Order: sequence, then structure tokens, then C-alpha cells
Amino acid sequence: MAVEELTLPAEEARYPAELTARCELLERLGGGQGCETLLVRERSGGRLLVAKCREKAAGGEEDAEAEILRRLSGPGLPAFAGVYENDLMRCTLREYIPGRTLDRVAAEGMSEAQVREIGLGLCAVLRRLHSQDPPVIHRDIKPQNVVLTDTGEVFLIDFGISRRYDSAAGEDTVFAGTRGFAAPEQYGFAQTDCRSDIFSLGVLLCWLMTGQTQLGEASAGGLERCIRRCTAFDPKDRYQSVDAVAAALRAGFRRPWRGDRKRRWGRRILTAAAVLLAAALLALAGADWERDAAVAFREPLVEEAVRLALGKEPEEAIAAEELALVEGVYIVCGDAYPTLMDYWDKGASWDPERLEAAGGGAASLEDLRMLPNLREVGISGGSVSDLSPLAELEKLDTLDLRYNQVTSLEPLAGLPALRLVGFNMNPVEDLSPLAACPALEIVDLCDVPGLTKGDLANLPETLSELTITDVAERAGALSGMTIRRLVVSAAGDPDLAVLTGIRGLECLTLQEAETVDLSALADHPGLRELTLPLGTWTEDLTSLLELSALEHVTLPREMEEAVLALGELPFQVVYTG
Amino acid sequence: MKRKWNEVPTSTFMRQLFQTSDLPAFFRQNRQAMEVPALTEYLRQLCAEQGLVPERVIRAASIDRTYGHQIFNGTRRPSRDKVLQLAFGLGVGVEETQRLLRLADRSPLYPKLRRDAVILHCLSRGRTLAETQELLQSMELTILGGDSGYGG
Repeated sequence: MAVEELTLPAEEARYPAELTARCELLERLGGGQGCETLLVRERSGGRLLVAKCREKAAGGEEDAEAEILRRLSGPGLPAFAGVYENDLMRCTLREYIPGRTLDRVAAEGMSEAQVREIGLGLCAVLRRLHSQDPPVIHRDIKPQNVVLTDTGEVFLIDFGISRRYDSAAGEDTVFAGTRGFAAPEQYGFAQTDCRSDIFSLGVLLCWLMTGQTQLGEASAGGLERCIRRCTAFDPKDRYQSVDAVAAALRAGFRRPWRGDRKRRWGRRILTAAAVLLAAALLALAGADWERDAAVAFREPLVEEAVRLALGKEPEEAIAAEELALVEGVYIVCGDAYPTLMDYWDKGASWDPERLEAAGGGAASLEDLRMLPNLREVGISGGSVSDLSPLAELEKLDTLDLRYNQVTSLEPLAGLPALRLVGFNMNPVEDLSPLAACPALEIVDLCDVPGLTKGDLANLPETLSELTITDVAERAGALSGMTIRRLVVSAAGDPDLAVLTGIRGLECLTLQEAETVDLSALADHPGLRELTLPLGTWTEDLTSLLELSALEHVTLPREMEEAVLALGELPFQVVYTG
Repeated sequence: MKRKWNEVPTSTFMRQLFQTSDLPAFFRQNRQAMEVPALTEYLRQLCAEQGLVPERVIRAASIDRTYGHQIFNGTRRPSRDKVLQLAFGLGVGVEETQRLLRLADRSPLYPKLRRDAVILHCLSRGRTLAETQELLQSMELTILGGDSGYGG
């Protein structure tokens, strides 16, 4: 298709030129009278930002937001990124917080523990606002202005009507806020102060618990008293500070609060003296309690991973009940990571030298017995051999144990949720227990020494992805199996004829190969995707034209000329390198 | 359980609403018609209307197969760009696309933004995804799904 000429209305000219020069305008997130919120992206660097643009004619206290965000950044508050204006409007730029606002999240229902956690997160943000001199009052706390990120962090956005408390003023003259959520004094009875935010926080908690902005028939559970006190008509009957609200929220917690992880940002910097003092006090007064409730770990690396999951400081005690909150444990050699993403990306990064040199990695999975809700385990580069601590983990979905010493998979048999396993470089002896894993889909067995055809025949038929090495040495090993996605590490000049007999092959990725003869792929008429690694060479690409289902082919850049020589192609080619 | 999605024309609906004397009863009777259908149901309905199977739509939308099926079975909430890619994959027009965006809880296309304007233009002209991407690229705008932090 020839690129078409398109004349667009010059609407973007409405926005300040410096804004459109710096950012591409991606999406209109919302808007109202004389006000628009846009998602934009910086042209250099690609950072996503939110631009809030207000038409000047609409008036209002439009400067407050920029000023407040500029002064206050940090946990729970989006970072300020600039302000631009032209004759028509002023646009304030701030960091984009990926996540969902509470009105969206709440539609899926929320437990009391979650509501408490959100309440505590908000208290932490409000504490910072209210402790400014003079205090900053948000004045518009409502579900639409609170973002919950995927990692559970709470952000307060939209400071459009926030203001600094002016102790000299008698009362606010203009109503600003959201009906239902705003405190009575915001309607003009008296000047708003920190306690107006506490009122709105109470309404928010009520709404999250019951779906209503006022306590009524629906039960607000253990939060009822706290909500009642937050939302007292007279400010002096309310909690007088967010710290008091936080204490009330924490007091009723049946399970200890997971939100401690937020300290990652707000990490309190204790002076050495304070640490010493705290330790001394614990030794004197809290020692008995510590012995009863705190959990001891056998494997220090697992303890570190659990602390990361719970957001605990190294010296902080972990209570037994808190372990139910841990869903993932990620360790590579001697380092623990907080998420599976970090485990794959930073941790493992599949540096074989690091993994092989291991020593100092995890040795025992014993501690995992204490984590009943564990879903993901990534522990690589250690000396783990015994899997029996995993046998009761009914929620286990992902288990990657590359570069360990596992021989028997017996304890995995029957695990109902196990979907992905990786045993690269482990001396696994028998794969048959995997056949008893009803949910198994993805199996990674690269460099598992001594696998035989018989072993592989034991893999469940439902498998959708298999990664395996040195396929040539196991010629025919895979014959008769149904595998949709196959990743083969086949160094040198592999003979693809060994793949003959695999049924249902749709996606094939070859790793490490040098010269390949693609003609053998004719046996796989259902092949849709083919990926050849950098450094691969093939004499003849014409056999690809015979694969009628082929849609995507990824090839090294060096092959581009050979591909062009084929003429028009019925599939898409992407080049790497 | 799958609920069949029967849409009552809005005009009929409005007439009934004006005639009713018992508003709560009206809401009870029409609960189903007023319920917003899930994204997945609407996607399936559009597939049926266009005579396409999801597999084909996902392919035409250039979406990873696994991801695509997760969208179709409702286990994954698509990003805004992915919804737009699906709209092109389905070959539907502006109205259906806006509805898909709404059901996916994503902001609608807004003609005052250049990128959205190009997309609207291409949807209204029945352009394919590839043609749209080419046009976006030629205008130095981010292609659909072109930013992993945003549309990916």
C-alpha cells in the first residue's frame, strides 16, 4: 500500500506547543468541563506521563496541583514532570501510575483485609501531606482518585482541589469535592483541615466495604466503628490524625499487615542508636513474645526471599500467620529476588558461568513446607536435591529449579496446579511422576543428562511446550508425542529429521544451531512459527514455501537476501541481529 | 454458563421506560437488557457476525496466540492497543470499536488526538491492521502495540 496522504484537523494545536513537542499524546483518559486528562509519552526516553490540561477560562485553583506535586514526591504520590501553558490552557505533567483506580478494583469485590491494607496505604500518604507546614489537605479522596498498582501499592492522584491549610481563614467559600465523599465542612460550614480528609477516608472505607457511602444495612464488618468515627459530623468527634486512623485499622487486623512492603520506599532511617535501643528493649521486654510467634528458617536464602515477599526488614520478626501471604520464592545462586520477573530478567539472566560456579546457593527446600499458598518457586544455582517439601503445595503453579541436583521428581506426582517445570542441568532420573500432574503444560529439560526416549515417553500428552537439548543424540525420542511448541537447543548442524514423528508441531525454535537443512520440516505441515537463532545458516529456504500453515518466521539478518530471492511470501518474516 | 446476549433496541427501551409507572418493576424486568455484556461475549458476538473464528481474528490482529485466547476466554484484560488490534482483526467499524473499548474498560478513541484520529480514519475506511500501522509509522506516531509499557 502506498502511504496515504492524510490531512488531520489541527486540533492538537490547542495544546501547548512545548507539550506536543516533548510528548506524543496517546490517549484521553478522561475529561470534564474545561478539563482534560491525557496519557502522553515522552518522545525521548519513552516515559509515560499524565497531562492534566485545564482551560484557563474555566478558572479554579489550577495551580495547586503543580505546586503540591512539585514539592511532594515519593511513595504514594506521582512525581511531578513539568507544567506547560499557552493562551488557552495550562497542562500539568506527572508520572503515570500503572494500575487501576479503586472504583474499578472494587467492582471485583474486596475482603476486609484488603480494605484495611488500602486504608493503611492511604494513611501513609496522607500523613505526609498533613505533616507539611502548613498542612496540605487533599479534599477529594474518593475511589476514582486512588490508584492501586499491580504490586499492591496505593497512590493518591488528582490534587486538583487540594489546598494548603490557612489557619487565618474562617471558612472555605467555594464548595470543592465530591458529594457523598466530602466532609460537611467542605460545604461551607467551616474551614477544611486534616479532619476533612479523615472524613472522606472513612466514607471511602465504607464504600469499599458496603458499596454505599453511608453506613446502613450492609455490614462494614470489623471496620464499622472506625468508619463511624472517621465520618462523625463534627470534626472534633473524629479521629484527630491519620495516625490514629492507621492505629485503628491495624488493631483489627486478624492477619498481620502485608503492606509493610511499602517501606521499601518510606524505609525509616533509624539511627544506629535507635536500632541499639530497640534491640535492647526487645531483649528486655519482648523476648518471650518473639520466641512464641516468630518463625525460624533453616535456609537463610529462603528467609531472605520470604522477607522480600513480605517487605520485612532483616531484623524484623516474621509471624507464622504471615507466611500464608507468601506466594512466590525466587532465588538465583546467593541472591533472592522479589518477583518472578526479576528472577527471569535480572537474576537468572542465564549466565551459565554464574550458575555453574554456584556454591553458596540454596541447599534445602524444607522451609517451603511452611508456605501453604506458594504458587511460584524459582530457585536456581544451588544444591537442592530433595523435592519432598513441595509435595503438599497444592497451589504450586511454576517450579523452576535449574542448575540444582534434583534426581527424583516423585514428590511432584499429583500436584494439582503444577503448570510449568524447569529442571535444566539437573540429573533427573525419571520423568514419570510428571505424567501424574494434570495441569502440566510447559516442561523445560535443557541439558538434563541421560534422558532417554523412554523417559520422554512418560511426559503427559497434554504438554504444550517442551524445551530440550541435543535432540540429535536422542533421535526419535520424541516420536509419537504431541507437542505444540518445541524449543530445541541443538548446537552444530542438527539433523531436523529427528523431529519426524512429533505430532501437532506448531511452533519450533532452534537454539544454537549453525547450519540447518529445513527440508525435513515438510513432515510438519501444521508448523505456524519457526525461529532460527543468530548465526544460523541454511542453504535452501524453498522448503519453507511448502509449509502451507506457516505464518511467522524469525531469521537472522544475514538471510535477508536469500529470503528476498524467494519473491512474494505467504508468511511474515522478522529479522534479528 | 453462557448467557445469550439479546439486545433490545434502545428506542424500544426508551419508549417502555417512558410508559412505565413502576420504575423498580421496570428495572427488575429489564435487568438482563441493561446489564453490560462482558467483553468476551461481545467479542464472540462480533466473531459470529463477521463469520470469523477467534483463531483467525487473533492472527489478523497480530496478537500473540496465547494472549489472544486469554482475551477471548476472559482470563486477561487487554490493553487499549490490543483491543484496537482486535477491532482491526475483526474488521469492524468505529462504533463497534468504541464499544469494545468501553467494555474493556479502556478510554474511547478521541478524534482530537492525532494518533486516535488516524486510527478512527482507518477504522472508518475499513483499512487493515498492516495498512493502519504503516500510516501511523509514516506519521511518526506509535504503532499499535508498539510500546510494551503501554500497549504491549
